[in-house]
Amino acid sequence: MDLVVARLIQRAKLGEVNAFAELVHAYKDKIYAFLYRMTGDREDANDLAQEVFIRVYSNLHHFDNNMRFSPWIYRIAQNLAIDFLRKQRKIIYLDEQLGEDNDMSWQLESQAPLPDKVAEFKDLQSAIEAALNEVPLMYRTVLLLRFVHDMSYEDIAKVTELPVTTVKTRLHRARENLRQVLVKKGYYYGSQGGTNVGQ
Amino acid sequence: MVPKEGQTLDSDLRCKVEIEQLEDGLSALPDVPAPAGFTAALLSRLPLPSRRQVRLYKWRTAGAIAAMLLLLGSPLYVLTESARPAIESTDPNAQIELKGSTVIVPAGEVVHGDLRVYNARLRVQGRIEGTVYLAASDLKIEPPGEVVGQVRVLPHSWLARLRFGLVQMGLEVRSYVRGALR
Repeated sequence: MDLVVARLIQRAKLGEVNAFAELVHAYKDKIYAFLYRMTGDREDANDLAQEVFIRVYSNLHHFDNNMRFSPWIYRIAQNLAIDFLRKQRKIIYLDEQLGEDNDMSWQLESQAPLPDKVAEFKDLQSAIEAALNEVPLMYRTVLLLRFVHDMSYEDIAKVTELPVTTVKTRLHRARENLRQVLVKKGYYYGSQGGTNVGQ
Repeated sequence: MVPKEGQTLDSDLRCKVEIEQLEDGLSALPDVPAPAGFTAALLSRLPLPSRRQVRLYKWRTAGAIAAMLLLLGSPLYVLTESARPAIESTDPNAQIELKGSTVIVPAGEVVHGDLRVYNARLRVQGRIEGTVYLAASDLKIEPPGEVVGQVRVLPHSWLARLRFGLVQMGLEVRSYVRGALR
């Protein structure tokens, strides 16, 4: 895959639009899906994905063929999504308020289960889809890259420009944060142990 | 996970199970394909590269290849070139003949300037009004030929050969680049 992509890039650099179209074909669904789940809106995802590929095209001459393409294009997508959401004020939690070292004070309080809320979700997937939009952006990014886009820790580190150890810590906290959102929505029960659930 | 009524779970275990469920759930999220016509819409918006950009990129690639070839080929080239007969003259209008390894200044010809001869035998039948430099060469003045000036023998060392080879290579590269740019 990497070799095929490297050849396509080489040809696209020489001005072959068809080669670039093949590159777009190979990555459009992944990038669109990533942006859709980052923004929660199909139209915004479409606009942003178009912008991602335009930036890729404009910057192909700066792309070093010794690098891997995938982390590069995801980094462009991630940066555009973050800029977009900041401008739209769609970020619910400001990253700056969420230091890596705080004591999970951002965690949502557990609530008693609400059967009517539980019924809103047909299954776990739709519950997760809905909950992702409420997870802070820095956590949403790593969750998507790791579990939806199946990236290695090293590649996520390249995309987010963070050390691998920070990526691992962030992922750990991100999973817990997602769980807490689902607790808040009544899909899961609170983390206070030993309770009789369902009563 | 929707727990069953009356079920009691240890908090830590439950968290672990729930998080594993979340990981599985995230991995199993359905694909979201890009809208139909995405690529066509994108291609219509692309800022096509200017000819200058494409040309620059091609030149950069060609330059890198040329540099590699020069690096690899130059030692051999210099050695070959330095053994080849050649002449240089400061008089651009001088009619000097180079036949095999013999250089002839024909009868009636006047060279107004210096003459350098490399790896050849110089036969002067005309007139040279300048200095003659001989590098790995010898000189024969045939009547009515004459040299009005000095005759200097250049050292026939490997350094001199190297210098000559490099000069020749520089001239070749210059003429090639001029040809390519034209």
